[in-house]
Amino acid sequence: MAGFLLGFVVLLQAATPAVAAPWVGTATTSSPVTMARVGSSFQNAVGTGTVSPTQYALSGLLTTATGYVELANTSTIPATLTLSMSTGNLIGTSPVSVCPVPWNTTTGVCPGVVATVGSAAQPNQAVTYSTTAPVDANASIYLKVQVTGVLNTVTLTATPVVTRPGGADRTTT
Amino acid sequence: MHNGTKWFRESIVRRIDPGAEPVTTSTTTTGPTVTPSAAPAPCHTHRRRGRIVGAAAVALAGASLLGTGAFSAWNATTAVSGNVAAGVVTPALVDANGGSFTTAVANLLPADYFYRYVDVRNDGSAPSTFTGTVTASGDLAGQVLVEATSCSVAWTAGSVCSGTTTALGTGTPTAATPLVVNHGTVANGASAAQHVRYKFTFSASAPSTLQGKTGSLSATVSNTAVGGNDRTGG
Repeated sequence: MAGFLLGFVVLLQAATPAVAAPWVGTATTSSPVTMARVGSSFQNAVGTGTVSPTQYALSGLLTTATGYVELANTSTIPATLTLSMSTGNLIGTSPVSVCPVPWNTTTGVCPGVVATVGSAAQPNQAVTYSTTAPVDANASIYLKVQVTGVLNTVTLTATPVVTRPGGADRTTT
Repeated sequence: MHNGTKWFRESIVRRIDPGAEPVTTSTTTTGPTVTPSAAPAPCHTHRRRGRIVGAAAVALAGASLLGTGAFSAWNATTAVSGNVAAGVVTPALVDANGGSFTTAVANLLPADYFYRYVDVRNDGSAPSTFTGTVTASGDLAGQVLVEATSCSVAWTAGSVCSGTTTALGTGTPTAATPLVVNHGTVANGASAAQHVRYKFTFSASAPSTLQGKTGSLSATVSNTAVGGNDRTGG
């Protein structure tokens, strides 16, 4: 019986038309792609004040309080940094100054050109500040916050950064 | 011994040595008691036997000469050969238009796009039908629109085709579901290369969760040669 089946199989194979084996060639190329990351963060606070990645707050009570903090561009591309300042009931000059390089925290002097966040503090109003030019990836702006007089609290909040528009031709860059 | 054989042998002996005695059966018989070491010195009978054997050998040699070697032979040989070479199936993707497909792209933002140019070349030994695929893997899967277009002449700077363009395939591939690109038949040889441009457009609605993520885009071409053809003519 086994011999019969074997013979049958052999006959079937012999009856099957031969098919030429295809020869296949393949070529592949690939390109790695990384998507941008955008964001900013408060960091490296010096002096009084509380800090989190998205917020920095400083309170004064019948005395002068000074604090320093960086707002870093944590994006992988240059970005315009933006923050919002809230001064509670404070009236008068702006308590927040911006230096493009680190402050001298001993003397309280900015080695560069100082900018002011808002022209003046407005009671219970938020003032927005943005850098005048995009800040490089991983670079920072340096903030000095100073309050005097009666009980007041200054709060800085990081807002979404602005990068270049999407939809750019990235063939060569 | 057969009588006929005996008569033939005797007649040969007589012709060579007319004085020889007729060969008898007893003189040609050998038995187990007769060995070379025990054999007596050649006697008259044995000498006669040697002459008979030698004469027979001469006769047979002569007969063989008459049968085969009496005439000179003119032999001529000719040969023919043909060269046969196995076919080669060798597709190639060659960077074109001054760029490189493998150049990395970083910091892609939504709706960003870029071009890559390749020449699909048939470096094999015969024209063949090419099929291509494009895959987007990693976090790029399903987030990139791919448009494959060929130009009848080489693409130039600014993504300009001064010839005729042909759409080869469009889609949003993933790693598991590649975009199929129909390259069609490509003749062999560098001059017959197909000039292909891939345009990759990152989705304008890509979610923010993709920030900083990575992926890769791959293009593949393959061609298949199937035999079984009548190659009698070459």
